[in-house]
Amino acid sequence: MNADHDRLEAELADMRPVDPSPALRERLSRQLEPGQLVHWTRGRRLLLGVGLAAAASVLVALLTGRNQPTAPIPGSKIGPLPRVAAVSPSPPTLFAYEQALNESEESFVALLDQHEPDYAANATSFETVTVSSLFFNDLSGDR
Amino acid sequence: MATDAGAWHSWLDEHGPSLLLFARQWVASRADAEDIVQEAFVRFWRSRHQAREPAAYLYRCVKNCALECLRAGQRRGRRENALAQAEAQTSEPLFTMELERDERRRLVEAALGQLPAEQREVVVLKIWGALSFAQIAETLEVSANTAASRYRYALAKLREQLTRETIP
Repeated sequence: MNADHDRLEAELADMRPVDPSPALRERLSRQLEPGQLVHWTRGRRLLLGVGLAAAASVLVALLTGRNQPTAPIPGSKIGPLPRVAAVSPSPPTLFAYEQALNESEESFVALLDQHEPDYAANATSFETVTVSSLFFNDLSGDR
Repeated sequence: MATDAGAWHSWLDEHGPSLLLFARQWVASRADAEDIVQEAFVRFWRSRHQAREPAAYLYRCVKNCALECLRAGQRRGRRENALAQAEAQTSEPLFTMELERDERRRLVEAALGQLPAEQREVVVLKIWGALSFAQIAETLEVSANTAASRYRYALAKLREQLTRETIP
């Protein structure tokens, strides 16, 4: 009886159960090693290429555009903008005026007098020029 | 943990075929059995450190998943299940064998199919899973003596069945 069982056991053990499919192994890989299985499909490569190209062109545009002087647009009628009056480098602050007033009325007046001529001498009147005003002036033939 | 990342491959290499065979005790279709093995294997792998007997725990995971799958499948009609099972049994073999032994394979598969489920699972675990009776006892939550006696009964039935089929 035992010999029969042994023979049968040996015969059964000799039979190999069907192997799991490669698809099962791949599914397990995805679940157990999620970070390691990256499929570089054609679509992903294309997306990566497009992304890199876009980033490179933005970088090139930034680098080349930064050092170029702003050239006037040919044919445009915008003239050179008037120079803004250079005001005294450091006009007195409100705190300075308050301090002077606390000291004495004379100090306050002296501070006012000290800076008033600067404004008068340096300030020049200028016309505010905008693109839209130029456009309308051009249309009406004012210029 | 670097070695751990690929260690599951050797577990699958060693136990994959018998896990699949074990799962097919409950679902006839190979695709369904693979789904069960996948689910069970992931469960096993993530909690294997808690298991006293990892191999036994792995097979137990498969059985639990298979039973869950069966319960979920009860919504389908019995007739539909029976038809699918019959179709799967005829089209998808359980074992890989050379062509000249194909007839014998059919006989063995048919004989296994006629065993009571509790005896069949012991045979699968002992012969193809290479588990000890102690491990089988752990897997099936029975005593080792019960596992051993089920195995003896199963072999006796198989021998009888195969002898009857071979000698008409």
